[in-house]
Amino acid sequence: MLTSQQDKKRFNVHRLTRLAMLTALALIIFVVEMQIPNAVPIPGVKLGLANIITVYAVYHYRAADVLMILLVRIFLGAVFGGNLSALPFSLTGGLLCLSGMLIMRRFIDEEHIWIASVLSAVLHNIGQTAAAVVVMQTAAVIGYLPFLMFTGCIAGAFTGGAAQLIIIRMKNNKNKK
Amino acid sequence: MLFRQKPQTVEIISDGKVIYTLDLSRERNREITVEFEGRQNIICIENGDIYMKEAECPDHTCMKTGRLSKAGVPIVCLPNHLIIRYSNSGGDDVDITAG
Repeated sequence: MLTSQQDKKRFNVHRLTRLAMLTALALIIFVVEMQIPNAVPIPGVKLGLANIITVYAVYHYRAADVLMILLVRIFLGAVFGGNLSALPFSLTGGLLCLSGMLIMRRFIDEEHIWIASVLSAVLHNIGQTAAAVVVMQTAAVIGYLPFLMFTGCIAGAFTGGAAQLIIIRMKNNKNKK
Repeated sequence: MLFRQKPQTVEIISDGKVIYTLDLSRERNREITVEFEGRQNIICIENGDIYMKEAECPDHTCMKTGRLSKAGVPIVCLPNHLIIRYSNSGGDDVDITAG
């Protein structure tokens, strides 16, 4: 029999391991995606495949847990990528996107996760553009927002669809056991 | 105000400050080097067109944007805080509040 303290400790280790694994997965996806040349010459456009993990985590973990996964991935991603100048954009975009998703998970069920993913991609675009306005000290960059939103919808649907597939597979695996 | 009536006037903005105002129809072919925190951008003016020739940044998005077009979006180099745009291409009035 475990005492309640031991039980709590075990839970923490279990949780820590899972979060660390998800963060590592997100980072691997991030690094692999860096190798894919960007087809669209618009600043800030990317697939954002690492958000497959974020989307999945939003629907399976507590808000604080997802926040930790996201922040560590963004910071370490910037360090691994050697592109610290992109940090303010990904940070603002990521945080706005996460807050939006945490609200959306109350209204949108897991079967429609791709819709939440598309909407949060648009939020990410708004956040990163806002950061660009502040960093560049000019509103001229807002001209890119419609293009960002368009590509963001495609990328969001793609990552959301991928997350959906993962969730279905994981459920099937559980049922087999 | 007079400047804004001419669509040929191009602004080069570095870190929020307009450092060049150019009338492309009158410019001779030349290169302009702009530095930000030790990193260089080389802007090229060629036969009335303007584009980013070199950029010391990880993504080179600004170089891939190509020549600045009147209808399109400005050329933006986010890492080096550099923007090339037509000075009447909108957003002028909001600048002050945004900064």
